[in-house]
Amino acid sequence: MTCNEIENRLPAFLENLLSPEERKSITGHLASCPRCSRALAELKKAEELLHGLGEVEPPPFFEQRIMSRVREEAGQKQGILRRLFYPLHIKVPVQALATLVIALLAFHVYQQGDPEMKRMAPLPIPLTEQGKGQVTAESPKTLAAPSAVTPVKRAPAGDLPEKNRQRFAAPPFKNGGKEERIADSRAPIREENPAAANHPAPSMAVKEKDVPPAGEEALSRAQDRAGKQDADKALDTLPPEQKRKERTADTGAAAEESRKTISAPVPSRMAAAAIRRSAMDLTIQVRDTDAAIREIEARLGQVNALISERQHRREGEFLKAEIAAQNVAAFLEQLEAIGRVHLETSPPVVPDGNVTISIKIVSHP
Amino acid sequence: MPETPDPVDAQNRTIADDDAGFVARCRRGETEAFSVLVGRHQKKMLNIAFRMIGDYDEACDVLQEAFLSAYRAIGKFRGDARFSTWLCGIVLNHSRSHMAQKLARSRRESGSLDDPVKSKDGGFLKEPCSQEGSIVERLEKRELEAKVQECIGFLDGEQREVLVLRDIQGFSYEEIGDLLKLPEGTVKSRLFRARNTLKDLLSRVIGDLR
Repeated sequence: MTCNEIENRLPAFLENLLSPEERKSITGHLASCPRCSRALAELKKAEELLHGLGEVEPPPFFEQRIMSRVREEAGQKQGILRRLFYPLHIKVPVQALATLVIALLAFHVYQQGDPEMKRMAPLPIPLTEQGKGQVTAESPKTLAAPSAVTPVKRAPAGDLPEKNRQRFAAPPFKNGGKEERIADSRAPIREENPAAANHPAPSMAVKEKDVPPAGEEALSRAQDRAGKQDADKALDTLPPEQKRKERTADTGAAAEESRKTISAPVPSRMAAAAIRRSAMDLTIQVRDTDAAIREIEARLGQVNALISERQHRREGEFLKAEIAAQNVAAFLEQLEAIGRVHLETSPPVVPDGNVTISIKIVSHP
Repeated sequence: MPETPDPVDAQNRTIADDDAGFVARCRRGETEAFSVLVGRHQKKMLNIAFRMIGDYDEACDVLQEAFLSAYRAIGKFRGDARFSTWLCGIVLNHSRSHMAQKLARSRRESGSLDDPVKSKDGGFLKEPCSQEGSIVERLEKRELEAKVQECIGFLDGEQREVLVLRDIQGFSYEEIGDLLKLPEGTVKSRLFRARNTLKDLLSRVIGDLR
């Protein structure tokens, strides 16, 4: 072992970490090597110096200095947390209360919202038809109770009584909604109490009192429905297949009618509905078309109607005339005397103004 | 937050840690519990930092930052070692960073560390000190300690760490191994090299050590 090797092992030698052989070898070398002996002595001295190094004391208030920094740090951390998650102090009760109020309000709206929406969505929208009268439409609910059907009402603009508002609500415009209304309208027509049909419903009378200008119209409508009831009764005598067809046609007509009587919240729909209402189509079957045309023209003249168009078509004669709305019913009665009248569309529901009647005269031997 | 479990040593024996309760309170957010830990460990940690850095004021600054870091990270303290050991690791890390910055700064500003040790007036620090009375002795002792400290400062960082921890602070080889994440054999060989290097440095600075 060289002196350098021994010198490198001296620290381990001092700690008795060498094997006995190595230790013995080094001990023997140290006895004969002054350089290595001196190195060992210096090593011991160096260790003594290290062990003798005094401890330094922390400066005064060192702990306080550290803790002030720590508290500052903790305050910042807490402050961030507080700002984010725990807005304590006075804000909490206020915020909690506000949250609670909002939650309760939301729950209330949720609970009440659905029926409210059902009630509110079809709110009647006053419809001015040809500058006269407020026309509102039946709601699906009204259709479900035919005895109370009064599709045309005249009331102060935009200020309908609550009960009328509920009855004359705008219908939904989706197809599904219409189908639903058709379905709704079928059953009541079939199941309507004959007594109620013969005598206009009591509620009708109330309505007549409520809204006198519309009373006559309502009465005629009720009579019309009563007529339908009679037709229904007559249908009972028909074979089932034919009855179904008839019923379908009838209820379809009823649906069409109800569709026509509704008012739309959109102006264009309102206008369209008004146009539909001011026109009616009918077919009259007569033995002699020429004689019938003359007769009809004469009758039109009697009610001061204005014949606007006359056409000869393959399927028959075609006549178009403008007639005052209040004369429509009388005119129809007169037509019944001429031939068998079949209404393609129901009589218009406008109380005033002119109605365009399209009459198709077909020969029926 | 769970209580800090008692640390275990290499043989899986539970080591009693007087600091565990205060550590747990700190983890629960009790800031004042940390002041107890600061009071308990500030001196030892300051001495480690001072022996590592060699400058008292700088050591104080470093230790302050180290305590702050320990407070911030106390939630991550897993309790698998004593708190003092964990804290010592933080102090050593901060000391290393400080020394690295200082070294980089000194390299920019002046020459190499391999230059001979010189006093502030330019003379070599080799002349023996006079011995006149107790004050002189104290001054001599302080001067000697300063020289020893200066020599410690010339050791490389790894050697300095093991020397400070073992020969000045009296840590066991096992504790040093845990702290530096080194096998015990490596710690010993590193320490023996450090001692030999320091002996050579001291003999150069002080003269004959015998």
